[in-house]
Amino acid sequence: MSYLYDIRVLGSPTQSDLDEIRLEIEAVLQATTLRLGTEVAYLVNDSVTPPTAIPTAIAYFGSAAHSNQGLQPFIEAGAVIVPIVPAGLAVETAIPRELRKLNCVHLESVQVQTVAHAMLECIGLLPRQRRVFLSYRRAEATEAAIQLFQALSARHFNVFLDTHDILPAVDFQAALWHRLTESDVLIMLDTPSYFSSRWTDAEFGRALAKGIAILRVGWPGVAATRSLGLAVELPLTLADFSSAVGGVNDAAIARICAVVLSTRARSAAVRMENFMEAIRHQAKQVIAAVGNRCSAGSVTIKLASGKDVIVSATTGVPTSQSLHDLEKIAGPADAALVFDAIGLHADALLHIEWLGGHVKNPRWVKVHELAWKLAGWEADSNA
Amino acid sequence: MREIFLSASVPLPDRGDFYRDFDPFLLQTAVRELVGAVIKDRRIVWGGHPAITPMIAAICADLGVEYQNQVLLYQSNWFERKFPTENQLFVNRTYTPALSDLSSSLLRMRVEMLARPDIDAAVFVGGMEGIFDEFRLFEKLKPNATAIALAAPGGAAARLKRMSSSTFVTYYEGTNFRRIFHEHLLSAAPSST
Repeated sequence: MSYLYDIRVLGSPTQSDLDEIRLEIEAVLQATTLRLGTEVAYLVNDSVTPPTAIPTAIAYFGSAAHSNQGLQPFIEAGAVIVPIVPAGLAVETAIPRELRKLNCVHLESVQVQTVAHAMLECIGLLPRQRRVFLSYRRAEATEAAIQLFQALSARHFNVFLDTHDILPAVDFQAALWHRLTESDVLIMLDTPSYFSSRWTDAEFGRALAKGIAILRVGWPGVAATRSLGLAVELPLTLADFSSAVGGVNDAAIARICAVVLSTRARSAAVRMENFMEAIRHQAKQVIAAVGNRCSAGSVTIKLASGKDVIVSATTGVPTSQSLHDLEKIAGPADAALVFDAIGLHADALLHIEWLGGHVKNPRWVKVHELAWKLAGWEADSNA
Repeated sequence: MREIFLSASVPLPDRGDFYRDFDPFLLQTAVRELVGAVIKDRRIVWGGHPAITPMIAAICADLGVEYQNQVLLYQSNWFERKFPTENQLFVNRTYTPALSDLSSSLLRMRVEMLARPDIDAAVFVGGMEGIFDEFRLFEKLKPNATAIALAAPGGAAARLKRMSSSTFVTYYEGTNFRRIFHEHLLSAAPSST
């Protein structure tokens, strides 16, 4: 059996940790054609099977009796290792010296499903960036917003606070819309006067059109407007609030964070799988074949002439950085960064066009124009 | 141009089974992928929903002004006094007469929609009993058409397999919606209506 990806768990995980990680990985992979045990290897405390050349991620569960036995071959092979620090222990106590400088996951402050997501990000099956747009009404939910900002940041999320004031609603400016469309999840703190003062139907429709997952945290007594039918619902009750702090209590924060993490992971996987299908469909129209995804999240499309084009897909907003990263992978080969133009601000599209005009390779390509562009490449190579 | 009937709506929280397994993000994704996959080659005919209409309008607008004609929104005049403002986002709106009660007004609207000769396929996703009503009517009026029911987003559409003993409906349980739409809705030869 030749695996495409390799996930390993070493050290001292509990059975409960293992079960939860496995379940979470399987849940995210559900959206893809990849399966644990078939395309994705999953080995626990296996000291025999050597490291392989395929993308590999290792979760090392530390303990007071930690040892670095079995780790050396992986360290030498340059595999990505994520040290996990059990609750109640410090890094120095639980983690072997060689691993202490790596970014650790602290189970004191995050649920073990984070480990599953970290593994999937390391092998390129989930995007590395975790971006959320946290939108709320200043007068009604500042404490809760700050608590969530801190809790999500501790879970390695990049949180943009969209603070809405009592002033008359201002149209989404280009920069703000840009931050929204870069995000995987839009979290709304739906307090009594939040939604109708912040959003028009048209704007909210565009956020949905971009494919962003919406999470509505409902304040007690606030009924969701009909426009929010497609939002993931997380209603709060009075019991979730802490009068001492003025915001929500720790249990509610943890509950919200867990939903954000799983919503983000599942939605990223589903979006990418459908997007890759859109790319395959375009390629088929010009009798081109799409290969398997490689470690950096790119695919090779073989044109009918035999010429290869390296394609990188982004469901978010394509950036000059992603263009540059693709160039590092593709080298002199023809390459394209394929993106979805729906939901992007007109200014962002103009910028993309402008930059595209100055960089010959790789090129930006809107997904619904990919077939046409591939046909053009084909013609170029035949000329 | 060939047309696809979209039967989609959002289960309400007090509707038990329909709501229990409802996945809002998957419903959003399914409808979004449908519009993206077919709108250049097919028109979509549907009765609208306040949570979904603005998203479809935004997708068409971003694809280009010519695609705003590709979606045909039907509304019953039974709701005349409270037409949602999001309907204004659509160019093609058809209003059907209000009859003596809600049930017959809705039936009249659905019959008028499904009388369109160019409809040769339908997609059922999410929703409550109305989805069952639309499915039964579709099966009766378009027996040679392609019918797809999506299970993953939950709601009534996920239960159509149990409802229909025939092989009339293609029932899809996965989340690669775009593939199903490519395979079943964009085939070369139109089926005879």
